[in-house]
Amino acid sequence: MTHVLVVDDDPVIADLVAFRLGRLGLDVTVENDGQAGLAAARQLHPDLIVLDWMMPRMNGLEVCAALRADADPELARTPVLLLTAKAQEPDLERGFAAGATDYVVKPFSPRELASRVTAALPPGSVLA
Amino acid sequence: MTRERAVEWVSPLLTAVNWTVLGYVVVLDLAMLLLVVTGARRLVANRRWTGAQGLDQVFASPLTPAVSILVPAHDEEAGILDMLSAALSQRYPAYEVIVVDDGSTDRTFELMAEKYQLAPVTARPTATTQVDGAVLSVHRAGTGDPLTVVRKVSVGRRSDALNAAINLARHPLICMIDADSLLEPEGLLKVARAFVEDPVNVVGAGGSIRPANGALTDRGAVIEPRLSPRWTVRIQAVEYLRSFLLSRTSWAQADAMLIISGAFGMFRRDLVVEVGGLDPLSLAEDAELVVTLQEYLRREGRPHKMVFVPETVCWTEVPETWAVLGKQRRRWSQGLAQLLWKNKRMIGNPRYGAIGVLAMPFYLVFELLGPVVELVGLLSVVVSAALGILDLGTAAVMVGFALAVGTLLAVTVVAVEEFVFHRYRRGRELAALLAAGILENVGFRQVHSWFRLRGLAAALMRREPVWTAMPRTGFTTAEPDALAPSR
Amino acid sequence: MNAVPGAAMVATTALAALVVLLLLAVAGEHARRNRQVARELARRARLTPLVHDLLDGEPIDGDDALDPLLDEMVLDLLPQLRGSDRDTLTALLLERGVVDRATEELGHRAAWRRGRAVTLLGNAASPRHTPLLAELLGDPVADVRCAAARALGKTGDPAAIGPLLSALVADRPVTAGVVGMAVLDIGTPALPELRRALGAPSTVVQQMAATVLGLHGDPLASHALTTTVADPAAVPELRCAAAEALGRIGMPSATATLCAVLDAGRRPALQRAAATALGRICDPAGLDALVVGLGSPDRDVRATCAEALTASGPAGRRRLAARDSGTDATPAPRPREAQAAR
Repeated sequence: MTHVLVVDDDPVIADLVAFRLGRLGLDVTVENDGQAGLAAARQLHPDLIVLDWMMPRMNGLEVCAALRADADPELARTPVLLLTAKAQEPDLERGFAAGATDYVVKPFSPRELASRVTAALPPGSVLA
Repeated sequence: MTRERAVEWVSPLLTAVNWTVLGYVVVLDLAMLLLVVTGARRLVANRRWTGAQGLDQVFASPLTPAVSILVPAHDEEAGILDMLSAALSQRYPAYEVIVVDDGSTDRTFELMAEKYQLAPVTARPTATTQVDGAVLSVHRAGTGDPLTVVRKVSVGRRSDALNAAINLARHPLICMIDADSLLEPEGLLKVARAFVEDPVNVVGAGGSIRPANGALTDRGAVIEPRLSPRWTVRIQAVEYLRSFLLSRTSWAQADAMLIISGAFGMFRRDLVVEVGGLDPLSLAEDAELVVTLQEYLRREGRPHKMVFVPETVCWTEVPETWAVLGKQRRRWSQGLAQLLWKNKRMIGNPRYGAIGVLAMPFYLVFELLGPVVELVGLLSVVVSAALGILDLGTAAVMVGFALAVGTLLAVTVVAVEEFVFHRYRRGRELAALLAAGILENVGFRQVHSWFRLRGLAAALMRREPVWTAMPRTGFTTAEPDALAPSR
Repeated sequence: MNAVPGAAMVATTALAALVVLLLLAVAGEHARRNRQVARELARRARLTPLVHDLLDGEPIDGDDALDPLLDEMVLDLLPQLRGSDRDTLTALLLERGVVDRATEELGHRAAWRRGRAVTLLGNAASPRHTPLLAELLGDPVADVRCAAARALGKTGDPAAIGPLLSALVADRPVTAGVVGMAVLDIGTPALPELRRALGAPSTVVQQMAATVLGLHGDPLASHALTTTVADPAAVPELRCAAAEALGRIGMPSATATLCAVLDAGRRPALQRAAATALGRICDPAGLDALVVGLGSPDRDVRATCAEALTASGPAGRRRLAARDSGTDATPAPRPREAQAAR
């Protein structure tokens, strides 16, 4: 089963995203801070990570950079979708520079997010 | 003169002094209580409806001015990386952090250089405020973080490091933070909101400071606020709460802000540059800056609003030992004396509004001269008792009364903490805070008075060299040598 | 003196009683809050699946569906969302009568009630309420006025632009920052109104219109803005705002006017705005003026010109480097701080 990790320090948003992705037939794990998110990624090897930027303890960019630098090449290639309220041009540039695959700005449309996740996953991972 | 004659002559004097001092202490505590209650009323009103803040809009708006966070650091290897983690993960649309490594002899710079891949760059100054210690080099982070590090020769003054940072700041607002402080993730946003919403009038804003000692932190984030087991720190927690949150809330309401703490204050850069940056001669450069800005802007008839954002917190390390605390308080007292002396024509002057009529006289009578009155009182009570002219019953009742007023003040502060801020989750923290507030009245207050008295004495003795064009003292002699390698 | 200790005794007793009362209140509040926090967490956990069901278009019922906390959770979620999920939740609030209750509260005596209602209506974002919200732009309490402005911004209704801009100069004004954010929030539907506002009688309104048009990058405003920048009779702050806006819009047609303003060299603030704008437009025709600006007697103008050249791409950076090393053809004294920085 396709596994997605959602890391956001706002539990309401994390739960909402998890719910929408669950509707696609994905197996979703939720973590509420960057450090726990990185640990979960290393343990679970998810197929995709939805990552908030501004979180306590370790921010999303640090998590993203750590993933890209990971010794395990498979983990280092995991698609990362940044979901953040940081909406200005330089922020987007920094996000992609840190290794993000896609970037969604809050306020966001959960359905659009679901479509983007589908697009980033290999064909057939998602329920039709 | 016989002993009896002397006692007879001195007795009414001593009695008068005793009563005056008692009255002073009671009036001081009542005045503080009044300020506390005024501040609390506003805070309670805010509590019912926080939706007015619009922080999300401020964060998303391209109109929000960018901020330069300025951090003077001297031998701060213990906390600098945590501080930077907190500063660099601020929820704020556009900002930069400028750390001034002010002649550190430890690994402060190396730690930063390693973590943020610092690389030297050519400096492009944006201002030329006075800096006595030579700037050696300027570095920028290679990790994409908006971090600039300046290395300079220390002249032992925080103001010098801050001026060096001001000269390189590029953004319209500057925010000064101590290197041993942790800013909460929305701290910058909440304080800057004042500037965003009223860009014409607001020139300065401050947030509250709380002791970080004992709090559970992780990589710059305060996970859970807790009180340190040390009583010196606990008492300071009460002090900070009372003075920063409440007195200053009231002062800001009366448009009479006199002190925005140097550990967390935000200003308009253009105005700070206009008044020449921070006063290099002042020992209380933060308060000095506020007073200078107020004086200058009011004199010119320009907008001069200073605001206080009590719900914003910067957690900072406070002294844990009496020796360090004593040094800090002596410096503050001396700084306050310098400040009031330098701006003495503002005191009681209605041209300077509530600052002149209310705030400055209050600081003069209660803050600066407080220790003199309190220690004279203590002395006089002891002498009276020794001479046997003290009516012990009356004395006990009156001391009891003064203590009751002090206790009420402490309890009110704790009550406001619980009803408005409720930062401490555990009941025992509240109990400790309360106990500290009561203990402050017996012991701490008297020792504190002694520290402040010594600060005042230092100010009086060194008045001349401090206030008339002070020759560059020993600090600056290192400059020519230090300059050589940078050229 | 006997009366004094007596009175003090009485006062001390009264104070002690007050202290005890306060202590009890604090202890009570602490216990209550901790209990409440725990209970609310549990309630939220129960209600979260309900919110998700709602988003799926499924009807909800049972006791939990009546919980007022559900409304609060939906209201917290709304500002973070866009798209059809947001519309679903907005419709739900209407259906549950939350919006109507808020409308009634708009006239409440307590300011915080009015403010809360205004904020709620803003989140529910319906143009139906624009006139009601616009009325509260004149509220006697500043916080409520600000909240009303923000709420109008969230409705996205261009009809709110007029009242918002008028609130800038009303007797009880709303600060420029709050109005600016609200007008920006309304987005591109506001552009025609804003272009008209460039001709408003008040400079404050004109300035706001110029700034926001710039932030939206509206090319259709560039002609009017160019005229304003070139107009020596206009207020300097307005000309600066117009220059800045032209930079953000980025039309090379403004280059000639901006160069002229930079060359005229009378107002440093305006020159700096023009230089920054030239740096953003990146038109090669603007480079000469910026290089000349490097020799300006005003330090800030020199620094801004250097920054603008850096921002103008490779050609600008080459000119700057050439100037710094003294090989540039344009004869002018080297700026002092360029040397100092070395």
